[in-house]
Amino acid sequence: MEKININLLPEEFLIEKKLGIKRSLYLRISIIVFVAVLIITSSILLLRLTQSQSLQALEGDLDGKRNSITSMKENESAVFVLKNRLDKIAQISAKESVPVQGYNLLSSIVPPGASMLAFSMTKENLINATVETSDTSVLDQLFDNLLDPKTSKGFITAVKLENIKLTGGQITVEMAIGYNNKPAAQTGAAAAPLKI
Amino acid sequence: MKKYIEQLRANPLYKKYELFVPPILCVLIVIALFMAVVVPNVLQYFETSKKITEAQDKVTFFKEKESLLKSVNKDEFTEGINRSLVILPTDKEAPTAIAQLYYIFGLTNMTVENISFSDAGGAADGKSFKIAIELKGSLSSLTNFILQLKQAPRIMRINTLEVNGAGNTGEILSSITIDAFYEPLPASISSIDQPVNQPTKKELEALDNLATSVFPSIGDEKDYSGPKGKPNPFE
Repeated sequence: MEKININLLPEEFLIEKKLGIKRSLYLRISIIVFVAVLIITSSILLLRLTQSQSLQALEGDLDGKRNSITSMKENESAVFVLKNRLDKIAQISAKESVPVQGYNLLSSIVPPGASMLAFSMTKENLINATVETSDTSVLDQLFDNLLDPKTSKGFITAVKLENIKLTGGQITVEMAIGYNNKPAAQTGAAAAPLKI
Repeated sequence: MKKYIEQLRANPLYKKYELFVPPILCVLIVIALFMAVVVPNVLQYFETSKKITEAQDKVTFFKEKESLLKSVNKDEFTEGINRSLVILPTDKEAPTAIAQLYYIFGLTNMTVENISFSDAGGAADGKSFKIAIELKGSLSSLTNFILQLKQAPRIMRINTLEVNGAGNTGEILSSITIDAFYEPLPASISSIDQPVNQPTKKELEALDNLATSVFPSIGDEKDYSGPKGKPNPFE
């Protein structure tokens, strides 16, 4: 059998009660949100505090290391000066004298039986050389050497005969030789065939 | 205050919106907290994190630099600098260059016909002064001279070379200009934040090989056997 409930309370009372429940719910939600935000804010502030402390500690460490390094300035200067000079020495030593390179090449090309009477090199890397011999086969050998890329190693770019004289059985040859201190074999460019 | 709150509660407008007062207040406080505390601190957090990483990197760098500098044997490096100054002096030091050249002339049996200096060298890769010499000797002597010059303790490079034969005697006359190099010491050393570039083992070995030559220098009288004279000529 069903119970019969009769509400004798006025309707305003019921509305007030519902409003009270609603008010309490809103208030609770607001407090929860507020507390949550407060916790987040405090956590961030705490994180920032520890962060600042570790930064301060690191800066202190840095200052200590800086002072330690400054106290070893003499050692640093010694290393710096030596390295600086070694670099400069290496830079200067790396560059070879072009006239010496040309002279050495020509000395290796002139065959036995011929002698070099004159050698000079212009700033445009043009070698002017005078070679003397009494034997025509030696002269042939000299020309072969000049034109052979194996003996000239790609350093010779051109050979021009300026003069050939025959005096008292001695043949004197004056030549102008184009010299390239960065030969094709090194630069990777194809060498052009040589002609006299 | 209490009276004011009671008055506020009795206010019909307040009664109408009473329910929304706590959430609105909460939202306002949350917004204020976010604007004033959370957002600036979060931004600062990233900035400080970056600073910490940089500081940590610097500390690591300084630690490495410190241990490297601690391991440096100052005397060894000073000795190295002294050796390098023989190879590449800080000033022209023409007498040293001449002494070395004359030593090579003697070694290679070349006769000096003429020698002169000029202030500026022709080299583009370093400070140098020019020494012009005219030498007489055989072709093999000249080749030997070129070889010996390359092995001389001081860096010198032949700038121009001209050889003329002296006829059937086999003697040649060569005109040579030589660049004798020098380099002043650096005016300032590297800053504390720059890494230390230590010379490599190979470089130090090369330095040893270059500087341990037997070439004499001015004032080296070991081989001199002639009369020495009074210690003080004014006495």
